[in-house]
Amino acid sequence: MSTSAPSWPPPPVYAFAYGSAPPSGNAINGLGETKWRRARELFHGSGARPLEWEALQSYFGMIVPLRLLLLWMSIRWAARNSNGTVAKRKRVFASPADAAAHVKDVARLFGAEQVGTGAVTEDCVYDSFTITLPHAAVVAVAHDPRDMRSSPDRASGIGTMRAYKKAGRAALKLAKYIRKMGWRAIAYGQSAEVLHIPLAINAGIGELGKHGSLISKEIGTSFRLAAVLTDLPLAHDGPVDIGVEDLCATCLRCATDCPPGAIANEKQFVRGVEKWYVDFDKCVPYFVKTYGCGYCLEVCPWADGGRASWLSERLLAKRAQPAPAPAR
Amino acid sequence: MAGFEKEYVLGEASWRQRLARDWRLATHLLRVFWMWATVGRKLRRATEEAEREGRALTIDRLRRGRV
Repeated sequence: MSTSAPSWPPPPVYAFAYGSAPPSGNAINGLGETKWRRARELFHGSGARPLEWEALQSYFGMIVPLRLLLLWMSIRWAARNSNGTVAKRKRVFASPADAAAHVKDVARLFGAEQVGTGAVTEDCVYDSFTITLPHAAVVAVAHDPRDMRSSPDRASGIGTMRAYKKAGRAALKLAKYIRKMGWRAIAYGQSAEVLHIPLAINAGIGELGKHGSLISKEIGTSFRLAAVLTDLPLAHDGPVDIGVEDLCATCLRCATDCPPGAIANEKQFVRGVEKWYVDFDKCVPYFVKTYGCGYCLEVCPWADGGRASWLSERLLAKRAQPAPAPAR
Repeated sequence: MAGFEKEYVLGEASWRQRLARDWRLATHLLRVFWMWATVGRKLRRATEEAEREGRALTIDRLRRGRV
């Protein structure tokens, strides 16, 4: 009797397909473009415009497990309170640095595991969005490692949604708190109006990794983001260098292990900026098949928060060492 | 198409406006749940069947919940 060995992660073979393929998501994302422009919504859109890949998004929404759907519904229900009444009396801080420190302390009380503050720049929002609030507080919440152990599967998809819920809740509470201090503030949890990764880079949460996700020195790769945009003047933490570039340049782990082979080994030009890029057309169908994938985040050497901090210190120390003298 | 933020997120608003918004959002979410339970059920079954038979289900006609 022959038995076939269980294949894990599942192969990129799909029980769904487009009859006539939509325009390439990579082209919409601006892969290969050398001129800067804003990003366009493509998948998991805000509803502001019809999406080219909308059929796949609708299909994803229809096939997800009940638990995942209920979590999404509760996130959406809570998100109605993203904005609200602003108190008439403004609390004034001695300096933007003081305000940022206060906001970070409060965000941690509300459940954020890492908090940063940064500027809302043009690359942080989609082309249909108008920037009215110039400062952002970005919160990060780590996945429960027990949920992610079996990634990519239903459990990890549900775990991801739980982390979104927790991060979104922290952002909602923080936004409400800032509004009570007399400043405008809108929370953006699992929403498509803003791009959380560029915002988080500006807020010093971490650096972009080869797998197209953020790597944090404090909590590794396995986390979700939410943001609060505000007019409260906040000191900006700014982009950080934790040594990600040094490792990603030579590490092949995510690129080799990605089941649909969506991760490139080289940086590419995307909307005028050279950076790590994940092939949308390969990644997203697999993401749908596995209810959220995230395999690259789990195999990444930075995955574990404790290890990420150690790794960062080692890489930065190695970089700081003087180059050996040439042999005579 | 207004998007979630424009449709359901209010800034300064009266309690009446908030109540109306809550009602609209609750209706929207219930509709999504209903679609998941009815159309989604058919889709999940069709997907399982396609997987067993080794073919692919064509999804082009899925637009905003219409199948």
